[in-house]
Amino acid sequence: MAGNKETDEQIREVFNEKFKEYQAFDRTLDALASLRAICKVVKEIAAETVTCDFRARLKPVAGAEPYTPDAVIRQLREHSFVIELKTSWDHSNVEQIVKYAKSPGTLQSDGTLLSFPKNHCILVGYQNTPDDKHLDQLFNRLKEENIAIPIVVFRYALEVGTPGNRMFFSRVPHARNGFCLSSSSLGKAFNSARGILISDDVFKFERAAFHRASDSAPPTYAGILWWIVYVRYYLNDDQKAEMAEKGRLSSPLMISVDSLDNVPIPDGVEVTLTPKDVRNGLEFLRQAGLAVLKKQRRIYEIDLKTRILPPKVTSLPTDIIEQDITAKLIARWATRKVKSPISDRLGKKKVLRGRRSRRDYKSGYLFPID
Amino acid sequence: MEQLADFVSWLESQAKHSPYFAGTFWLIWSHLEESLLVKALQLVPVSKICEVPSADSIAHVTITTPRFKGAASFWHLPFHHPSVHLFFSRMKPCKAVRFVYRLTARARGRAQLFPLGHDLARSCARLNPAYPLDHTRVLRGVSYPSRPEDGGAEINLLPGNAVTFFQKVEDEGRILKLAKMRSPVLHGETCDFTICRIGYISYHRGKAEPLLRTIVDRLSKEMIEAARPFQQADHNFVGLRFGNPVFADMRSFHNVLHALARVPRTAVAIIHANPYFHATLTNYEDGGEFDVFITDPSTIHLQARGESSPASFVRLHNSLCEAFTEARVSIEHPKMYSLRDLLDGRV
Repeated sequence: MAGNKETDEQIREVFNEKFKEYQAFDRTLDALASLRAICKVVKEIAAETVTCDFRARLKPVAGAEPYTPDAVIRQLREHSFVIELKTSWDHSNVEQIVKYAKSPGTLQSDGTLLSFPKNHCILVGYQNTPDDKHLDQLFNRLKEENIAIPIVVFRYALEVGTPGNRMFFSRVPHARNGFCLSSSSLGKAFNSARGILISDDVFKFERAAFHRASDSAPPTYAGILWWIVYVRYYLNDDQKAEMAEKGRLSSPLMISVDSLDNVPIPDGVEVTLTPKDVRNGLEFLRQAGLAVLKKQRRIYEIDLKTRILPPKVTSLPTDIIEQDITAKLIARWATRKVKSPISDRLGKKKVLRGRRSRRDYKSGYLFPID
Repeated sequence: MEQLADFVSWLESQAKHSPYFAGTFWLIWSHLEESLLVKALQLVPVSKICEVPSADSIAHVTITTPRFKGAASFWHLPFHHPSVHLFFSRMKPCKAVRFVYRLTARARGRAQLFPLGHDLARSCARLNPAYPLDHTRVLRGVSYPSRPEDGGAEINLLPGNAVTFFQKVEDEGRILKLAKMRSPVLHGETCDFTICRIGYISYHRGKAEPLLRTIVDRLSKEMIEAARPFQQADHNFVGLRFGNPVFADMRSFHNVLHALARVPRTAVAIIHANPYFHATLTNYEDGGEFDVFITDPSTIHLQARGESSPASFVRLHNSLCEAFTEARVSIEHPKMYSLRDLLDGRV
């Protein structure tokens, strides 16, 4: 019994950790939706904004792989903003910001360069504000690299208050933190000492357009969105009819591993999951016991259904688990991870040595043959 | 209307020979032109000498799975509202329903069963406006509690007159699944029929003409009227504003989730539940895809994706209203603000 209790407790911990990761990522998407809403509903900013690109690719300074910030906003009178949102400080941030600052412009769909205008600025947002030591490290490096364009570090958070819930953006009051160009209304707003607030009632209009930020979505998030939104696009007419009739498929949905590069684009979604997200999402579903990877045939078999049974684990919050597919999937994943983890995804084939090759010829025969 | 008279006399004669007769009218809502609907649902014209008089076309539906094999036929009747088509079947509704889903799935969301909610069922209970509602008897009613923790289905075999029955369902906040009724039509004559939430009306015995006229004229118009706000929804936000701040407490989000998950063949996932509510759902039955938001204590916002039809909206609206009472429906657009508003925290 003690063993079971310990396992249940372990499952709860894994569940809570994964659930937190899911929610933290969602906050970043709220911030992106807020930025897009600001560019649309604030008259002065909307009038100045030319493009608001959430899938922008920056020309790399070295190497061939373009950089992918969370947003690039181009405005009239030669203004542009590169925006990167982070949850918390990471040692790789300095390099990333330096790269963005050195990039000459964005790559258009045909691969040509669209240079940044002269009034260019980089905005780096954190949910958890970095401490002074890390910010000094960043600004020292920028000085070493002779980077002249303003780098503005700001904090963002979804705050609960009496008039309602609001996304809060505020410039970090560090002595060496940059200022946006106040010749742009958006820049003026970011420079504001009080910060800017935008209600969830306003940014909700933009929220459904984001399924990920520029970086890949966490496997949990990708897996859940894939299960609810994307999977429908993989069904043929008979399977659609079967789902309409029964809410489940009588035989598994087969998806070839090689076909995962073509990700369907759901209507109304601007920033969709990438092939990598879909692979990670399917891996999460596999770990949750809803997909099976047939390695030899290189296909995923998906047990598609609208009703999913939650695991019977006493330590999990039953009121959440019973109702919501998100919680059910994470609970299933956590339970399997603790109780019966399955091996990693499609890898190289193991070469088994035959019996003959395991024979020992080196140490000589015990009974020499004539 | 000669066609209707022919059909009615045939239907009544069929009912006389069978004590448990059920001739079912499936109410399929579609804005497709007749010729396009025929193509979409793969209807075939019927000969003049047909099993069902007046029917102009027929749909054959076959299901073959490892566990089940079966076939059903649905006759399209020529008398109907331009957007609400009547398909007639002789099979028991509980058996025919899976074939109907197969049939509507052929149109990929462009033709669907129209859910008959509480108000439409109540309206249908009076076949002749000359008789008050309490003259209609509910012979059998099946209802469910709006919250699952309040118990299971209630099946009343003789629940009494319609006024008492509908009042009881409303007072107890229950969801009406089906009601078999006997409604007076003229000079002591009656009509027995069953109205079911999933979108069909079955005729059992008595005078069929008042029932058919009610379906074709009054009920079809009321159905279209009930769905009118959703026809303008397209990709806009639809606000369902409730009279009271029913979402003031975050615990109410569970009831919202439950109301959404109760819509059949629907997968719902919460994207966000603290501090505001955001869920995404796919309804496999009608292809509806929605994002659902609650950002103020008395309003739910629905944003449709893809080819979500007004009928999909009606389904969600029904389910949410059953859990939180009636709501006012409006189309909402984002407001515009000034930079000063943004800097002063008024956005």
